Amino acid sequence: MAGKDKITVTHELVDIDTLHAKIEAGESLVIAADEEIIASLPSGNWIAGTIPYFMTEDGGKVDKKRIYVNTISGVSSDNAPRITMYNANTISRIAQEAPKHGFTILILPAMSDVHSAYAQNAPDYQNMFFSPIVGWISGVHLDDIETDSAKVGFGPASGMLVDNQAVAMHIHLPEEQTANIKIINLFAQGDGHKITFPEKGFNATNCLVDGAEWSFSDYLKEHNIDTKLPLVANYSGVMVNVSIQDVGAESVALYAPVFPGVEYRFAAPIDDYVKEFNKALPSGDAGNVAFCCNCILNFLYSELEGKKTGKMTGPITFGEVAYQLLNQTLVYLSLEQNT
Amino acid sequence: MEKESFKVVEQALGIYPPWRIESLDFDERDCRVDISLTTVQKSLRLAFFSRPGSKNSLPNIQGQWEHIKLGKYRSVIHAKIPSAETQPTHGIDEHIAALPGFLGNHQRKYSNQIRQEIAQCLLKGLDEPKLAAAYDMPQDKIKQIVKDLDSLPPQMEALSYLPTEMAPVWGRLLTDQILLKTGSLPLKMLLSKLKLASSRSENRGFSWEQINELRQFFIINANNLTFEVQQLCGITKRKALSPQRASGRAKLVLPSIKSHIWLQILGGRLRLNSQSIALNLLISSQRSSFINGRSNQEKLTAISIVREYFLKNYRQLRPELLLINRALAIYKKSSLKLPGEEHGVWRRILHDEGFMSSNHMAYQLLMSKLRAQVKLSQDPVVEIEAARSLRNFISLNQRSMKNELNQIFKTGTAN
Repeated sequence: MAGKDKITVTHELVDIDTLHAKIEAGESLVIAADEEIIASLPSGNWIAGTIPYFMTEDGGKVDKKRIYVNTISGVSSDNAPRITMYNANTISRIAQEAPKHGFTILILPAMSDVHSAYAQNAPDYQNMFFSPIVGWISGVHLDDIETDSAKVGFGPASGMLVDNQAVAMHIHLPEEQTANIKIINLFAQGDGHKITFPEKGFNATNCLVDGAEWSFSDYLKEHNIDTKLPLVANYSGVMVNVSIQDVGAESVALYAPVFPGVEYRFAAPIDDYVKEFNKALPSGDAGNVAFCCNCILNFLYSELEGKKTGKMTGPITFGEVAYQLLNQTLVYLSLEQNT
Repeated sequence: MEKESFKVVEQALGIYPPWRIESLDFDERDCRVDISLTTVQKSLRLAFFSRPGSKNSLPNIQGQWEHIKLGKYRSVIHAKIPSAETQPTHGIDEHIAALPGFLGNHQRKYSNQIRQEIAQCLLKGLDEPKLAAAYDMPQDKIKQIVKDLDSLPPQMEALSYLPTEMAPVWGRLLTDQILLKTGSLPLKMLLSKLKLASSRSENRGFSWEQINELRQFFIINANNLTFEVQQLCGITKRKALSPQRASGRAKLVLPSIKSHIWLQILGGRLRLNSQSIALNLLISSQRSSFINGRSNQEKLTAISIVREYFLKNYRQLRPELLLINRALAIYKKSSLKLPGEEHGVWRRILHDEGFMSSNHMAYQLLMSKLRAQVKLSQDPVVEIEAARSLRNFISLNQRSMKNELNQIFKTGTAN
């Protein structure tokens, strides 16, 4: 029996005809593409998120015509991937519904209630961290951010694009295989002040800076903080970023929520993202990467368009999911053979 | 004893809600106390054991487990626990490991706490007589525990010595008194969440729920967290002294050319699940040479080529070697001990053609050759050599000669 139903996941940038052929062949797919393309797809075993930015083997690309697709092969008919939609109320069940031995790929539309609910509460969901949940936040072309909304697509119901629900694919693995989520976050806490926030949320008004009360907006302005650098919290050795979206007069909008009791510091600057990134790439995982995504802020701030990041290819997203929501981080899932 | 005093005993033995002591029965002569447990509410007990997706209609089973000593008294816990949906094939599985430390497998007579302590002691190098003395337990009981531990597949070893929820190490971990080195992203995230929750609690402490959540994570992922579990037990790799376990990990053996393992690999009965394309192609090509080989020499050449490849590439083929070594160990364990070559049964087979009939072609051919040799020479040395060859042949073909083996053992025992 060993090796009979080994799961493999391939990933590639394809044209619309190739994608249609894959859907019609009944393959299980995770799709990243512009909204217009996803809306035109036939029914099938796929989930999708809107995004026109990709990291390819030729470098960072903006492409509204082509599609980044992960193809899951080797699934047995009696244990086929399960596709589920979740709203802001039901998303809390995701880890309980994840396969006991397998992994889940999740896509959440940016700025939706379900995105907000997941970002703020995922660490507290029952069974979270017990089964790998990896994924991304769908988005839009930055030129269309005022007019369009990020969406996800539910393959079994053709053309069903929604901006208020998340979509997930739960994939079982044979006992001989294990899925591991890993991250590459080049940012580490800098030497600056220790910042804590009294309340959880995507907007920060007040904060404590080394114990002294501050308006967070005033603090950023008075200290000339480079807001391209994220706030970084040390979660038992995992560096988790919270990126700054907009500094308003009274409050600061964030791309991920801050949590009370967690100590943040602004990240130390990185001179050359691509060089550091290539240094951080784990050589042993390159052949096993089943899924990968990187943050659009890394794409923008590090000017990744046209620059290569090795075999780590996939959608460039409005947020990343490695169990919980992350920012400015590359997330990947590797499938490993048990020994 | 007053019922109020039960609480003290509960604390001493690590018994916690929903479980409570219903009765205590002291036996002064045998220095033994029998402790019957019940749950606060029936529904609570079911909730406590329920797992996602499981049905709560499982029947209860009475169990009895030797637990940690209460002063000079041996304590024996009695309780009814819901049966698992599937019967465990080993002394421990995920369901049993998730039970409180004072309970255990209903088919065994020792608690999870005792099993965990003994597994940890074995890992640190204590042997059975020392364990029997340390735990003041009969050696046969210790033997049973050790036997159960030894029969565990390698991926369940860490589960056997994972500290129970009673161990103070969980609290120390949640309050940053010990630092756990780990590369596991979900573990780091879970630890961070639990530590944050305990730092936010009024007394800056931790709860049973938090410990159980963390422990449950270890139970589910024990196979991938061996190093972390050893840290919880205060064991570093260097300190792991259990001779057979430690050496089993450190030293991998490449089987000799005559090993049956190569027959299994080239015969397609043992699959290595190798990621090495080169190895897979080599095995595939040599398999056809092996199967179609007309002479033993041709078959041996095929084995020799594959073995040579392992010898040259052993660094890259560690996972495959690990699997081969495990298969060797399993084979060794499952092999039956045949009577010695001097035993009369071999002489009888050699001389009495009607004694052991067999359809095994290779056996028939071998017997034809050996009988002819013995008949011709009449030399006792040749007879002993023939008996040795026959014994070796049957030893190597145990799996395909079960009926013949039965007959040999019957005769062997009768004699």
